[in-house]
Amino acid sequence: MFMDDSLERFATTFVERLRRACASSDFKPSIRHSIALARLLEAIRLRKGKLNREDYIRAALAIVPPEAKDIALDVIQEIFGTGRNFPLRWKGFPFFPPFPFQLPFPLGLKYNKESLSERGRRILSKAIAGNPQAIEDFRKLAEENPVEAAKVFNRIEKVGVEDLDTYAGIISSSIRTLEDFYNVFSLTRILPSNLEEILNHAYENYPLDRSYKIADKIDSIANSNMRELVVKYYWDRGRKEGRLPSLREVASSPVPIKEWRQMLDKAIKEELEKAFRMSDPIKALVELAKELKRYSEYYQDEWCAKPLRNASKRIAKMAYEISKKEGREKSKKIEQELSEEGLEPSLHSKISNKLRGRIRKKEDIEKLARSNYEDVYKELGRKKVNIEEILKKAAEYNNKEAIAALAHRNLSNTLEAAKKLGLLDKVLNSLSAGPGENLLKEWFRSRRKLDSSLKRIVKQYVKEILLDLGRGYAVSRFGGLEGGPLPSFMLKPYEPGDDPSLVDLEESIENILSQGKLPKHLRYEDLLMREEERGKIALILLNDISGSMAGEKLFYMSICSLMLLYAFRKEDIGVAFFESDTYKVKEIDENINIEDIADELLDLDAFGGTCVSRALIWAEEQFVKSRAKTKVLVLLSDCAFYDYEEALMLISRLRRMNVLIFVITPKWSYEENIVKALKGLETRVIQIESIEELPDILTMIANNI
Amino acid sequence: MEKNIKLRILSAVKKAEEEEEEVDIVLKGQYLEAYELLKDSEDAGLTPAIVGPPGVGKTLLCRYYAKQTRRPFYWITLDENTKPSHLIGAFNPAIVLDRGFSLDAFEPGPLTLAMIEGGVFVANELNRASEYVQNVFLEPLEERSYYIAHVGRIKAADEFFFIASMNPSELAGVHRLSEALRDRIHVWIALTYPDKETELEIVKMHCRKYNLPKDVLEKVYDIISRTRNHPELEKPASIRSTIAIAKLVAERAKKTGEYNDSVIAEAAYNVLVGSLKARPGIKVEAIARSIIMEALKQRR
Repeated sequence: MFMDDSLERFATTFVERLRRACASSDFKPSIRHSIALARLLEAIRLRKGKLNREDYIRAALAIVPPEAKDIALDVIQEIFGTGRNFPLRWKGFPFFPPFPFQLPFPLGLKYNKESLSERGRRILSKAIAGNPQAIEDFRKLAEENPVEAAKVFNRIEKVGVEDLDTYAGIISSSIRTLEDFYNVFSLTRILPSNLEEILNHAYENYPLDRSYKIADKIDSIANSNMRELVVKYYWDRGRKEGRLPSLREVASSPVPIKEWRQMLDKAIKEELEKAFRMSDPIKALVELAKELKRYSEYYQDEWCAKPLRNASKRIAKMAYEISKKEGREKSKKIEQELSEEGLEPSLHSKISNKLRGRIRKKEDIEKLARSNYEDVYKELGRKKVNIEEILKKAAEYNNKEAIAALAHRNLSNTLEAAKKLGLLDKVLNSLSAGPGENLLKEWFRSRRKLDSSLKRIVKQYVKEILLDLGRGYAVSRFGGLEGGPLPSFMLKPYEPGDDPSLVDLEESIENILSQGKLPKHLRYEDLLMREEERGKIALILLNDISGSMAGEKLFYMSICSLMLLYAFRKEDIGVAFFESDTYKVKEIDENINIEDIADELLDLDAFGGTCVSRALIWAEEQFVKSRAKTKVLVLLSDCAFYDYEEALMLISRLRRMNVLIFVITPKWSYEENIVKALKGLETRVIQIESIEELPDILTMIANNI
Repeated sequence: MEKNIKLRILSAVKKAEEEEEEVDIVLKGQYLEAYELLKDSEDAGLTPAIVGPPGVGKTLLCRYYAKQTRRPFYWITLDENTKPSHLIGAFNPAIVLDRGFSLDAFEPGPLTLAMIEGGVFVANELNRASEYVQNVFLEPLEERSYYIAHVGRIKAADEFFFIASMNPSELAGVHRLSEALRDRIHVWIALTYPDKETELEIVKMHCRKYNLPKDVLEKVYDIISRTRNHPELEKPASIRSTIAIAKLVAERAKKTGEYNDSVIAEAAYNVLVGSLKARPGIKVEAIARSIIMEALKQRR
């Protein structure tokens, strides 16, 4: 295509096309690149005597920095390829509707459509140049890394080489895990040839909810029934081997098939037995009932929701009956607690709820529509109302406080009514009236019920509130945004290799004079340098986002996280979320905006089991990475850890590293025994009951470091 | 200092100089391509950078290049604490206080030495240096000269050749090359983990005295290659780890007289726990164990 005497023509053609292809990237190829390519080709020609196709490809790739090599490959394909398209290989599993949950962020499914490894690039270059060795290299790559091979396949497909079916077959037989299945399929639409092996790998290596999440992702792109296959496989193998998944794993993996129902029944039974073994079985039963109810509310599929709801009611009643034996006061308290969650355990509470006051009279509606925020908010907590009527009236009086109180009490219904009445803008503009905490609480209760466009708008308001609250509480203790532990400067003796320009002459001369030394007696260390003491504190924040943290606990956790992030933002901070998986949000040496973390927090869904060990190991690595002298771990959790033995072992290891550990739990619901054990390991457990107590956490941490 | 100690130090320096003369390398596959690109870059007057994960032989290749072209070899590994004086050199303050900024007080750094001696200079992990330090390289790369305060401008010898080396995973984020420096690097040579055949040849070369059986080497390689595709690992095992395992196995076999799987497993575990880095919250120990077990089970 390009003769030896037209090196410049190839160089300019390549760079010109590359420039167009890189229009939206940071890399801007210039005339320097054309010159470099022509000179490099000339040097190769002088060494070899002549140039072949592979030389052109290799030289063109060489003058491009790593981040643009893939774009360069596209340009090379454009210059040398035929551009034939390859048909989809997907045959399709039976259709099954995808699970509606949004995961907080990617699961570590790690394909990146844009980049090829160096090895992949070499294989692609060979394939483009028609080198027969390409297939053998491709086979080896697929065996070792099917996802990387899939990326190469995608590019080979565009060039239109022969033996495309051979390449596809190699990939198909190399898929052995669920992640590879998802990643390879999303790149190539190629199916695995051995499903049994994939399921076996999943069962051997992952808890059910993790496999389910990946299967769900596969189903959402492939219209397949992988979730069903996964659940069946876990049930069949688990029964045979006596190793069935826990309740939280099962509840987080709903599929409307009988095997799931059987697995759920078994898990509930086990959880009940566990509750009766606890020191306070009534409390354990109440928590279990609440948790099952929460799970049932997540499901759109009634077939899955119903057994959870029924079990929840059954367990609530059980808790109530047992509480009666402990006296009227206790049973009344339990009845009230359950009723607040919509789990009326007795006939009496059901009737009293039905008879609860309703605001129906015209004059009452008028009065409410003209009241202030506090009165409306309070009244709505006590009585049932027709939101539409009050909203209409409040809008007539332009009473923003009443509108805000309605939205803060019942966000989804108020927005729905506003949409119907054409008052959406008015409601949205009123959201900031009244205390932001109430809106934030309501957000965590009902955000799933909002449609996506409304959710996006409301989230902006809520985000502002969350950031303000975090900032406000931080400022209340550290007295200003520039507060927090301050960086300090210290003097250190000069060491060979230090930059002499940083020597503090005044301090050095004083030091030399005070020792009475003559110049000829001076030593390196007599000279003093100023050095900033960096990263005085390394603070790791671990947020529990498991199922038991749903609702109000998430609300407290979000504000507390933001407060700590603001208060310690000048220090080395690492943040991670955990349930049965661990999601790192910010490594200790990473730069990330606090607003981005607020975004993540507001999108969280508390779900799944609680395994804290992985998060603790991650924290340990972060402490090792940081050179800070003071190391602080803040664990925001109700401490319902599955892996508590391992967790306690890791926590004592962190204590041996002199890490100060603060565990922040909600006062009304936490795992007593584990908290006791944590206290025994010299961790400081802080129990909070109300939002006003949050700044005390800062005081306690600041006093201890 | 005692005379005896001084003599020992001199003897150790001499030994180190002699050892530096020997550079063993398997020049085939990607290494041959990279070597040729280095040569072509120098012939074309272009500045190259070698980009590859730790332990694939970037520095070794540069050392070999220097040796083949009969030039002194200088290198430095940069990080955020590196200062310009580590590259250029510094005045000895004690001598300066005594005699002023005379040439005697100047102790040249490796970049200065490479420039005046016409050597090959490798800036390892160039992107990890602060922009302040990265700027030091601009003049030597563009003008082949450098101005040293109190000394004057020095001009590089014709044979001076600069090579940058970097770790690809650190090219993004906080470890970025300044635009000015990036613009002065013309050729980007990518090195990755070599193919099986080449890696085994490298291991054999480092374990010449042991004469390890082929099946043992294959087992060791199988373990290592699994770490390079493990989804839970952020940093897999390098060629150094392959060599370390092979040597440990050979030493153990010398004592016991046999090469069995438990010896390989033990050696591999002891090396891998220190050389792998897992994803957040994952225990390296558990991954190392499962990789070793799977690899040995499958080869049985």
